[in-house]
Amino acid sequence: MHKHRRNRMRLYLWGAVGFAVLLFLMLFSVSQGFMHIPIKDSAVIIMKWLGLFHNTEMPKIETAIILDVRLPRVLGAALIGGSLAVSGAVLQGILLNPLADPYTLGLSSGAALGASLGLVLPMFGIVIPHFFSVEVLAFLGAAGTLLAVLFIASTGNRLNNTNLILAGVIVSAILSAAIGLLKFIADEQVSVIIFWLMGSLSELDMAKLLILTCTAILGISVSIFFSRDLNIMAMGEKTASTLGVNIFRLRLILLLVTSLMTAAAVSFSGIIGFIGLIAPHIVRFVIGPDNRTLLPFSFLTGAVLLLSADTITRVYLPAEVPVGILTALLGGPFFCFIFRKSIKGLIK
Amino acid sequence: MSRGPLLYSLNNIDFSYNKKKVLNNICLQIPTGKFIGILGPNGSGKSTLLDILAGLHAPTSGKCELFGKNIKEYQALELAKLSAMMPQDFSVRFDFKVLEVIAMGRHPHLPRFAPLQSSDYELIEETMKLLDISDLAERNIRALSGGEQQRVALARVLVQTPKVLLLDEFSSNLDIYHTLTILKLLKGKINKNDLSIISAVHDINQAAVFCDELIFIKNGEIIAEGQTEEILSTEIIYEVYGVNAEIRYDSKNNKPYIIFNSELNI
Repeated sequence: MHKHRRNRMRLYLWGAVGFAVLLFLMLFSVSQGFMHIPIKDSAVIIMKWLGLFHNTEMPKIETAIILDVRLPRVLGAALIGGSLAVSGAVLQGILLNPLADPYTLGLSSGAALGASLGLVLPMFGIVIPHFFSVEVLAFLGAAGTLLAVLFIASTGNRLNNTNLILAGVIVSAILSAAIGLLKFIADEQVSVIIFWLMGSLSELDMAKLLILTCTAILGISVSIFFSRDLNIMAMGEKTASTLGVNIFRLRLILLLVTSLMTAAAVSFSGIIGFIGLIAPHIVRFVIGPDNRTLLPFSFLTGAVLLLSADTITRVYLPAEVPVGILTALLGGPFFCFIFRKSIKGLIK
Repeated sequence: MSRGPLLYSLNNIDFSYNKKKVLNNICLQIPTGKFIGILGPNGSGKSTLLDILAGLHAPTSGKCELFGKNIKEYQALELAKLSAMMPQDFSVRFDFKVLEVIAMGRHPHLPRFAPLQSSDYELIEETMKLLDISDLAERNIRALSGGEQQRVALARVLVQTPKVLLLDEFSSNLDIYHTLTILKLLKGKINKNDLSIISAVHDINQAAVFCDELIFIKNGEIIAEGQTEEILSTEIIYEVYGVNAEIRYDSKNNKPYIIFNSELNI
């Protein structure tokens, strides 16, 4: 019993460390940029905005830069990174596949195509009902792609690991070509569509943050609600069924929720790959595979990863490189590493 | 077979998979409190029959009742408290610890967010001791040998504390020492814990010694069923497996054992 208590203390400690790192990184990130603002001043500006601090008068320009430009982007990076990471962890759990994430399964491309259609079709006079906003189309694109990938990869009622990723890559390639075609047709809007293909956090504002916050809270709550069922899924479908897990319902609900989180992330940031793959693997390595802790820690880790990557592209690289390029450059080799391990049977 | 209160009642069960008939007109009355062995050649439908009993597949036609109630009508968690299954290919994705895997067997008994209680831990520790795996508690499940994994899988179904245990060739990777100790342990549990066991068995000699009753199945049909001593015969073995065998009896306990003739009549 003592050992179990010690394990719990260790988790709280890791949680506190992770949260502190994320907060510090956010503060550090808002103070960095073309105009350097000392961390102390950034902290005061944010605390004033939160209503925790009243006395000091801060310069207007700095306040505007932090509150209107950098803070939405920093918060957005954390929310998007966290949402993608939780989506990845959940997809890996329900599909029993360590290589699954919104990017490798083609969800991100599906959402991007949906979003691009939402923008391009009206340009050709095709009227889209008001209800089908860009975000809703992104969701339909993500969910539709997921269904297509699952359908292509399934033989009988079994899902093969490699088939699933192959199907994801193939569908993703087709969707990217379709986005390319849209880009070709819709000359003037090219910059917007390229943004979706490459992934960038430069277009975030407070209204988008509100939607992101809602989808993230909904997604992570539902996922954590089913976290014990996700653990049991690791023993395979048969065993999970005989332990009372309703696999069909579990998969349906969690696939919907991950599609929703991915769609929100992609509508506002474009395709950002591999965060959903890397974050859960880091957490499993450090803390273990129990989904009750894996999911919240994946959120923290994904947030820290994407925020770091975005801060690097925004502040340190000479020209602002879309962050999706950086995550793909760093995440691609990581994918190869996990893939090698899974071929060798270390991760089955 | 109609001794003791009824555990399962199967009426005219057919099951087809991909348009191929796997089970054909299965009728069985299975009593409680027995160790029942299902025997038959590869691909005869043993595992499918177990899946039907576990409620994993709905029969294409016919009815499967557990304790007098159609198995379809049980809630998933309710059924998980009554029956537990150890599938043939037990493997775990991701690096869970042995203790975590076994603890998952408590899932049907715990409210959604409830942590394991001290009574759960006691049950888990006791079961691990019985199966000789206490030392493995903190080990990574995927780093274990096949035999160790099989004992972990067995511990996992035992802590589920079901009324009926469905086993699919649980001893295929076990050495003879562990096979015998576990068979003895399971026999003891039948009497002590009001348990029934239905197991697909590969080894006829094992079945002859430990099973109270046998069900012989071939091409999805039941060839014979009944008390072990009554139905075990060279004719049945020849009919089911197509091999010549000789049945002898142990002079000490009068249990049958089978010797196979290496010259096959092909």
